[in-house]
Amino acid sequence: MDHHPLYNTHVKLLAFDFLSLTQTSSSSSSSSDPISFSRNGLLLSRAETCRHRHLTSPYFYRRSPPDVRLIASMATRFETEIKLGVVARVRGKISSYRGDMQITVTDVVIERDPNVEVLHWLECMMLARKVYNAVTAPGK
Amino acid sequence: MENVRVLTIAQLVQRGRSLTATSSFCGPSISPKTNQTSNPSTPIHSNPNPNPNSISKVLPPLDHFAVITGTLTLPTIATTSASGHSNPTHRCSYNTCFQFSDGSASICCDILDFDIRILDKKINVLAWNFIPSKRGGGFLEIIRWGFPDSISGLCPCSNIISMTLGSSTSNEDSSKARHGVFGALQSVSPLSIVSCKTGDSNFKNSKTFDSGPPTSLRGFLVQFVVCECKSCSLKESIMVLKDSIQERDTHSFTKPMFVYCCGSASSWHPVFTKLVGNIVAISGLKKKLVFIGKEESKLMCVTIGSSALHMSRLSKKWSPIVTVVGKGNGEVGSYRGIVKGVYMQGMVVELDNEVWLLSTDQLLTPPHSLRAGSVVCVRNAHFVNTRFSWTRRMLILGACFRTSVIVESFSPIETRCHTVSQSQSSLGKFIESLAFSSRLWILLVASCFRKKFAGILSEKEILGSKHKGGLVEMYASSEMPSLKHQSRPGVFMEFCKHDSCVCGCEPYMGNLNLAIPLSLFICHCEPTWMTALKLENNCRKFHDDKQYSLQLCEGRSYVQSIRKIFSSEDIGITLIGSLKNSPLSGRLQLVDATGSIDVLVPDLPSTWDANRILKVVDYSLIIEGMPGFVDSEGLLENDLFSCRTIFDFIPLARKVNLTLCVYFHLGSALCRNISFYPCTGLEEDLKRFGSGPFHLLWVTHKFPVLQKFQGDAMIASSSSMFVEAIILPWNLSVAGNNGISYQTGVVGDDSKEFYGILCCWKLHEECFLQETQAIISGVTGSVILYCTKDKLNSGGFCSPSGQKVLLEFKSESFYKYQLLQIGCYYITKHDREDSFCNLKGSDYFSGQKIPIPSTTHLWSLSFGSDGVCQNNSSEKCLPLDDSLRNDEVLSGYHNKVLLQMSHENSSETSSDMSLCLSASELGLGELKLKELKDSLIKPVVTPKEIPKISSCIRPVMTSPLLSTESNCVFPEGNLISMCGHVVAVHSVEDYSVDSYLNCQNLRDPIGRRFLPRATSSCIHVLVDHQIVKLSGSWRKHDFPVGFGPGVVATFYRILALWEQNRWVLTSVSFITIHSIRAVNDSCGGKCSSPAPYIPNAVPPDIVHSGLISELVHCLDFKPMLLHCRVVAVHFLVLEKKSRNVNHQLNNHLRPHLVDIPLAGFVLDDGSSPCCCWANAERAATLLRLYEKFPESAFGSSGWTLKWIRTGAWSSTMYHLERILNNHHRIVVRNYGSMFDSSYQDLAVSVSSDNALSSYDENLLKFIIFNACFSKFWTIGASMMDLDAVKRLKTDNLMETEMSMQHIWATEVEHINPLTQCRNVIQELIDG
Repeated sequence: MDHHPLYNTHVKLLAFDFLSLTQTSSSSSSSSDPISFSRNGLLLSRAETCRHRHLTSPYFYRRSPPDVRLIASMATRFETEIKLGVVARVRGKISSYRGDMQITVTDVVIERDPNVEVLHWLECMMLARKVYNAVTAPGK
Repeated sequence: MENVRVLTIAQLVQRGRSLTATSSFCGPSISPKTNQTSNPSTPIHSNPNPNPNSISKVLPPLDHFAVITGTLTLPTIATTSASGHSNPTHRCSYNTCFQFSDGSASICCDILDFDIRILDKKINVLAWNFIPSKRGGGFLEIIRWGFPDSISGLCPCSNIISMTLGSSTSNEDSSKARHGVFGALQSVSPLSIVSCKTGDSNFKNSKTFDSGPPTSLRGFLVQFVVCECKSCSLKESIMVLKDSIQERDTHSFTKPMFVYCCGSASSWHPVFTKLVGNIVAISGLKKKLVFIGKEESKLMCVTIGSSALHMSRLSKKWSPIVTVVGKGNGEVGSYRGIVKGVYMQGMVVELDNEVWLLSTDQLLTPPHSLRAGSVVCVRNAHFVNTRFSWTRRMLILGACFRTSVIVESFSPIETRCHTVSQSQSSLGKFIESLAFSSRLWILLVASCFRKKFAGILSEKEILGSKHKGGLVEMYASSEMPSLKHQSRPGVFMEFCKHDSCVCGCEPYMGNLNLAIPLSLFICHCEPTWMTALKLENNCRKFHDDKQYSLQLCEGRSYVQSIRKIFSSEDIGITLIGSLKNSPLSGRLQLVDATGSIDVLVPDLPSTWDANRILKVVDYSLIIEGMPGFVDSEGLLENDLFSCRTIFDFIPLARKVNLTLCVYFHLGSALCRNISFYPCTGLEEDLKRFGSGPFHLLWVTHKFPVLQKFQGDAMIASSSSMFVEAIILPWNLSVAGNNGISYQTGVVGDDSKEFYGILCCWKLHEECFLQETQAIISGVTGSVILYCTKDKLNSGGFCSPSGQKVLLEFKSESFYKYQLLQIGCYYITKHDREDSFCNLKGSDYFSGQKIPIPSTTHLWSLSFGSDGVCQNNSSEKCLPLDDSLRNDEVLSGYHNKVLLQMSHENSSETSSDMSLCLSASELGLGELKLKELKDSLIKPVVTPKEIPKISSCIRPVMTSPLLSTESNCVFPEGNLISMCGHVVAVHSVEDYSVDSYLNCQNLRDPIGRRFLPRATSSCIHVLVDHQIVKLSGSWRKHDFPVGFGPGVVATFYRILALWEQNRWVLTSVSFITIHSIRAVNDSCGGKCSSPAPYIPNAVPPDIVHSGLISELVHCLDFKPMLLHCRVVAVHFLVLEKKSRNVNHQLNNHLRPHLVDIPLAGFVLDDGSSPCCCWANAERAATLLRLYEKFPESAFGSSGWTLKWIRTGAWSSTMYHLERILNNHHRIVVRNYGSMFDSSYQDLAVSVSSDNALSSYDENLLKFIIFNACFSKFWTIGASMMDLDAVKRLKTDNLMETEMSMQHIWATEVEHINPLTQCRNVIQELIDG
């Protein structure tokens, strides 16, 4: 693996971090932002980012049918659970869809505790300070 | 034949070497009978375990053909043999061997293919073996012989050979000798001598009495079975007998008949022995009444001088009705086999494989040619199947007076001849009185004892003399108290009334214990341990980290040693030896001449004498070892306790890589462990105790054995051991046995003097010679306890108020060091010259050394109110002196025991003496003592206070790692004592920077400075449901005997480093073991599932939280708190738990049957992924098994739920249990992505034959996916080192992501977002 350890990490990002992500290479399926993150673990306060397009995703078709159905059922569950105003934790792959950045969701967790959102912000800050910036600083 | 050399016997004897003259011309087939033997293979190769007395060396052959020419003669009676012979005779003491003489000398011989005609004829011995005997002389084994050419045999025309049995010079009247016997010779009795002058002799015969002076009569009985047909019963002359011989086929031999061959015919014993099984006739017999017992007589034929033996030349063997030996309950039968070994001077012969021929009767004379390697036929032996508890079933051939042993083929191996010693001994008589299996057992005991006490006791002390029994007899009678000496009825009686005699009945022998040499016992430990381990491994492939090797401590894996405890009942071996202190290690050991084994005796009586021999019947054997370090190759097959091994006793040279310890009690009256030799009574102890003034000591601390001690004998001999004690300012005055107390009547100041009664508890003594096993105890005497502080001028007691001293024990008095226990009171006799009085220095000067020689006796003393004393001693208390037992002393004794010792089991008084005082006096004494303790002893933390401390050391999240700022050279802290349950012990290797740092900060600096160590130890102790880790530069040998996981121990004077939450064993720390418990008794039994493993107990040493990415930089393997989510499941093993084990252990949870031996999760906290390994509860928590099963999500997919749910069963665990019910073990591997929960590719495999249904498989996968879609966890984990990861990998046959960090979860909890927020804010502000 020639990737940086953070490549496989669900990086916690805030919304403005997303907006600051840029694509560097268009040839690869997975996009890279300037600080070379490809996956994000993030907390969203709204449900708009969740989609149910997973079932039609070609990625799933490469896998065994029962698993797909299982995951698909979960995706359906995610969809039903994620309603407006619910705090959910979403993990997914950062990819690009027709030039726009999108997140392919791999899992969603509904959080009941409102403090989680704050904790996510704080962790984003701490991680940015301790890890993400520390890693990229020499590179830049 | 010109190169034929003629050797003389004298030449052979002079040469004194074993020799065979067979191979040079006739090859290996030395006798035609060899071919008949059932075992055609040569004994050399079939002997799997060569024993020292049959070194598998073939007899050296002569390089040339040599014959011996001489005469074979019958044994001559000792009194007449020496007359007129100029040539030296080398005869054995048996008087039942053929003699061979060639003019130069005469020696004993045996002959194959015996032909009666060769007697007294000159023969050429063509093939022979010569075996020299130890005392000069030798033994000739005649294999092939021939008459010289000049003599062509005897009367070739006659079919009948007749020989006169006696000498014709006999002046007996032959006219009455009309009787004859014709029949099959069934058995021959041993040669015995009957004294004719005494009235109670066996043989009373008027004729004999008349004929000459009273003399002893030598003779033997021959049993025939004769035909009852008319021709046999009517005819009586020799001619008829001769006729009968020729037409023998018409007879049926059924009727038993006895012939007494006495007088000159007695020398025919070897001939008759050879003829057993042949059809012969004897003529010229007289019928006489022979007394076979005291009261019983039998009419039988008796030989006279003119009696003659007749037999056919072509005599065929008569084959009796063969008794089928089925049960082995003493049936008589014949056995043919190859001799494997001859032991105990020929009393025990091993045939083939574990068939034991016992000929212990002193009258029996096994032939000299019965050597290892020979083929023998045993006739009329008792077949006894025996099963001893320690070894497998075996067959005993018990020889009685009817048994004859005939060698059918001589041994080609160079082995010694054996001669049974014919001297009467007490032990011999004892053995003869027993059944066959008991005889074998005693012979084994004797063999063991001779080895065990070689050089310690004399042979006479072990085996006994003619009239006095030795150690063996004492031991044997103690094991078999029910079997008393049974007088044997005598040779004649037993021979004639064979079936009614005792030979037949065999008692049950299962309870007979063997006392084997200790070295053999130590060798046995290894296979015992391996077998137990194997058994467990068969039951359980995966282990909890407590049971299996993976012991994790601070992120590193340590191979956890495996400890097994066996009870003496399972082993079936009694240990015998003396208790001694090893001069090398200072440890208490059970010692015999062959080896020594560490022992743990919690209640060693202070009257113990190192020279006494101890019998330990009830004990526990603790074996501890590393699983990888013991190779079991070939160990398990070899039965170490087989009789052959014990008789041979080849101590294995291999080193045993196990820690052994024997744990037993000595003081308890219930156990059968006693000192049984030499016998000393209570009187001696009492004498030693005597009367007079005694000093009172209180032991405050024991210093451990100096560490430089190990292995250096020179240092060891000059080393000392130290005990810190306080000489209390009270002395004890004991009144003498005569009842006169010199202080009687002096009613002193009530604060200065106390009156009490002293009871001696533990002066038990048992003795077998006296056949009394009564426990003498409870001797009382009156005492006065008086304060010495203000009595400096009286009685020479010059010690000031309590002084702290160091008692020094030199190597000769090490065992006294073992006796002392911390927190106990001891009294020692006052002596004007003793050093207790001559203490110089001022008050409270501490550190004065007092040498304790081995002559100084220390008795432990406990205090109690009189009520306790009365209860314990009950009727055994015999007051010797009533003068002080007035009503005043006896009144009001219902207070509790005041000065309780630190013993855990205080219910039983384990001190030597108990001082009973009145309650008021005790209260006063308590006050005094408290003052003294306050002034002299620094306050120490008692075990009861430990919980408070450990609650203080609960983790503080934000506490810094290690304050490196503190530049102190010595760590600071208090010396405390604590008691706890040891969970794990492992050594720490100093090979990393981390350990070095550890050493810098944490190790005992004093120990480190003086003794730089490569290794140190870490002990995990469970104190009040919390794990406390004790570290220190102690090596394995520094720990007390028996220390290890599973013990409850008190750690005295350990250093508590407050600021670092560390507990350090220093070089002055001392460990006392209270109890030992097996950690893992049975398959999968987690006997101890201590509280720290419940999910919500936080280990005390987690000090900070961190990020996964920081783990890489963190070299110190410290546990860390991580806040992360599960991304994927890497590997998972699920197993079904047995219900009963589970039920006891998880009381805090609903009992469930799912066990997770191992689970690997991929975690992610935003900084880096990592691989986290967990098991049991942690894994279950991470899998969300305790959470409610989200059936709405699962059910919505269209599958119906097939099970009925009630509220209590809705957790995920329930579903898993159901799946596991059908499949004992399920392994799930993830071949897909490790970083995306949805892209996992899970492969499920099951151990059972029936595959997992697709429904269950989906459910299982759903459970795993569900685990990955979880909230945040707080995981307490530590880094795993590469070895541990590798081990996981190889044990579970999987590929691990080596790019990730591997951690081991010790704690899992749901995150508290609010608390965590605060922590992060604090961190952001600080940072």
